[in-house]
Amino acid sequence: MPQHRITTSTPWTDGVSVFEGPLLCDLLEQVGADGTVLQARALNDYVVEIPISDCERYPVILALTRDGERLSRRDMGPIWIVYPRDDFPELQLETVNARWVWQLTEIEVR
Amino acid sequence: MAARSLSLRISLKYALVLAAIAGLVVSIGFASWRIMEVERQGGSDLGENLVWAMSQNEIELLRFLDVLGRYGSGEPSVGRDRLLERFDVLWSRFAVLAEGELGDRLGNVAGARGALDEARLTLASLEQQVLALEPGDRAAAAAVAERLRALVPELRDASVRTAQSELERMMGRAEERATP
Repeated sequence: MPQHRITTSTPWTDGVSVFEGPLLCDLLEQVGADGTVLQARALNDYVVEIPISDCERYPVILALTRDGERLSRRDMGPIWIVYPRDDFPELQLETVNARWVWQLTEIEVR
Repeated sequence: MAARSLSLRISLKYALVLAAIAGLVVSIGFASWRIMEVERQGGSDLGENLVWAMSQNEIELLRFLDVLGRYGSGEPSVGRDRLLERFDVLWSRFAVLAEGELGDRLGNVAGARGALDEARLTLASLEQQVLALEPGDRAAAAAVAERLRALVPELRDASVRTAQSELERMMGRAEERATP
């Protein structure tokens, strides 16, 4: 899948970072996902619902690297859902921050 | 002359009514803007949930201790991959609090940073022992567990202090919002 880049600050890191990975929407298209909501689960069993419209409106990515370094489990990896929050001020809300699932293990389409 | 005076009085009356309506519209507009502003702030200025983030340290430590105990007792369903996965997740919880907004706010909680630093040092000192653990090596697993169990009360205290600090912060925010 094509890799996309998001340069943004986050509430959990210092400064601005460059994240890279495939678009969430590309993945959903590739697997033929049919639904309106995703349920994303992390390694620590954190679960959150993400409207599929998020990735239709914004270039949400499944980040595999941060500043060129592959994300490890100890550093929010191996997969981290990243929103372009610096480019879209309306994404700078706690409700959206809650969708930045790191250590992503599972996505269920509903 | 009397007709002109009557007309002037009526015009003045209408002008007053119009001014009252205009004032009402402005007041409603201001009140609506204020409500929207409060709602907007409510969704964006509370910040990340530091209490939840702190509580996860203790929870992940206990989850690792559980897996460690089962690995040490040779339970077949708990392999090396699972042990190391839980160890990494435990490490990652401390990384979340090391920088960014959460890291900044944690600096305001007395003793919390110290408790996390000590926990990280303990994890670092146990790294090689954990990596070298063999399934069913009860004694080695118990030795690691003993060092880690000592962290539980300190992490609990740090979580409690964080909860109290965050409560004070949120009350301060509520007062700020209530002030016009």
